[in-house]
Amino acid sequence: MANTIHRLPQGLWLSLRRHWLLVATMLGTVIVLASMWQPGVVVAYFRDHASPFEKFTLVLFLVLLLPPLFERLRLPGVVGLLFGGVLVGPYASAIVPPDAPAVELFASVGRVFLMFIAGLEIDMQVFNAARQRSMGFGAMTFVFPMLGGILVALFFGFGWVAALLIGSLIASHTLLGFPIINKLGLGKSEPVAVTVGATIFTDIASLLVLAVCISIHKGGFSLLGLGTQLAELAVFAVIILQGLPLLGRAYFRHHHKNEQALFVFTFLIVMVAAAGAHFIHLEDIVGAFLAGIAVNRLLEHSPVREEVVLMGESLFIPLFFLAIGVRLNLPVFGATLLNSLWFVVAITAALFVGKFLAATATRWFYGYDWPETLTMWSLSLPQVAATLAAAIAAYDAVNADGDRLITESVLNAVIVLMVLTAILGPVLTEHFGRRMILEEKSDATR
Amino acid sequence: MRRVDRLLAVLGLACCCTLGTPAASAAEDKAAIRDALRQMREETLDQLYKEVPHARTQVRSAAGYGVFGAAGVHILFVGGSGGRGVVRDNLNGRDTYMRMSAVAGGLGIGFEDTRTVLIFKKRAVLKEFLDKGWTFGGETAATATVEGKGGATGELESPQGITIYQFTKTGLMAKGSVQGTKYWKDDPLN
Repeated sequence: MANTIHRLPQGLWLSLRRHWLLVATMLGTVIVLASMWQPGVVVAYFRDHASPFEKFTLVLFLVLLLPPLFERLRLPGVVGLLFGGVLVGPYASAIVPPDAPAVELFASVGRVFLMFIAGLEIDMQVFNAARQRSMGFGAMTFVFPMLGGILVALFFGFGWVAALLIGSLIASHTLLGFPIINKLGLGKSEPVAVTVGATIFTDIASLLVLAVCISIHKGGFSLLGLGTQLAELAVFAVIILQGLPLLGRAYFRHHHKNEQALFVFTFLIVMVAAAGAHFIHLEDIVGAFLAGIAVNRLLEHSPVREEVVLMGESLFIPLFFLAIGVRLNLPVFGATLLNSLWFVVAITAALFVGKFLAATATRWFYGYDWPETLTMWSLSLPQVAATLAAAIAAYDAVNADGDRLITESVLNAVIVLMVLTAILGPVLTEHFGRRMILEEKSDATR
Repeated sequence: MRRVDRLLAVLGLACCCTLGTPAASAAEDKAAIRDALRQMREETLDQLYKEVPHARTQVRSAAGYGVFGAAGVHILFVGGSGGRGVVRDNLNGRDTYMRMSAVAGGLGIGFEDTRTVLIFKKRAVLKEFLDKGWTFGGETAATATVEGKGGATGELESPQGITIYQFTKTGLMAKGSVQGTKYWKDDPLN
């Protein structure tokens, strides 16, 4: 025994001696817990006896552990969160009931924060630096997949409004591969800047289509109704985009030393904008996205920006994805996917081909080489934030006859699309990004 | 305006009123029938979920489902042994309105009081049902899964993968039958 102890590395031995009390206590606790353990006892405790506080602690564990674990397996962290939701949901351990008010609250707040941060991260300087090309690529990477999505939806018998909405779902994108591009040192290259700028265009356009489609679905189509909705949207956008910065500047001037108050104020702005959108029959995510754009400049140099983003990205948004996992009805998910397999294949093809055509057309217009074109294509593939938030908003939109704008089959297809593109997009981005570097090097040596 | 012109104008107006009113009325009738069918569907599904809770998952997982009947809804009744129904495609959310009737020997007394829920497991079968219509033969009765085979009481299963539940006024029928029932698209309603 003494020999074994002496064979321990010096650092570990010193650490054990220094923390002997902690080590002894931990050892004792583990022995006691192990003696009490029976198969299923932990799950049974959390399911039947745990308080909401204890369940929340468990959920936080999952939020902390699963994304890095999945990333080590070269899978997106988001997939880990969905998996975590399924684990605690009714089809695995049944610890968290899918209709619990807390799940609804976190799903809503997370969704709102997701779009607020999407608006907040819009860098108008990047957009303005390559405004014309960003608009050009933005328009093409929006229109081509949208047309593809509309054709696929019409082929599968969807009505016009649903087809338009399905088209817009695959027309936006999330820059999931951007951190990889940054790591490769290509973050400031022009094709990447143009793609980042194009994201602004696609996000705004798809949210606009969402707002119009939901309005028509709920109230029926009439030119007057559509005109009224667009007028309300315009008034709301002016109030948010011009009013919030004014209000924010005044508040920040008076309370610039009170960081806590500034944080709560920013949080409040997001919620008020989301609730305001709801008040005029728009989706809350539209309001949150506009609020993000509105306070973008205001928070540019404020530490509050980091705090709000940190809070959203580390807590609310993961909880949103986890809530989706909790609500995922696995038997229904599997069966609907099997029944709508050809639709899933067709919509995936429409996305990949549509985004490819857009990137190729941009190459033709602006003279990019193939590695640059394919990097732009791969960056514009992932369908995570805006797509999922918009799909859930469309699924939740119920008209007077009790019909949803999109069916559960479409929502499940979007989840598959999200997982697929979240895995493939970054892999392709890394591959084509490296080819872009090689091409630049060979150009330099010529 | 000359007297003849005035007369023509009055006649024209009268013609418009006589021809236009029935057209508008027919459209209203169709809307009323569609509303009644949707209402019947909701009521029947509520009853089904209450009596067979796992049917909710069956309906959600299916390629589509249809609810047929005429019980208590006078407007749906076409007389004799016929009825109407509505089929929902779970992929695109579209409703297709259909008619049903008993072919030789089929449904018998009390048919007008039954409601039938058809759950289509396979998309191909749903498409065929909607596009070409359907007639259930004797094979469906032969494969009734009353107990065993995983079926709930009152649950029938056709060899093509259509799960069937039938209700009367008193509730789920323990041993229903769709043998000899023909379904076809109700073109004027769609």
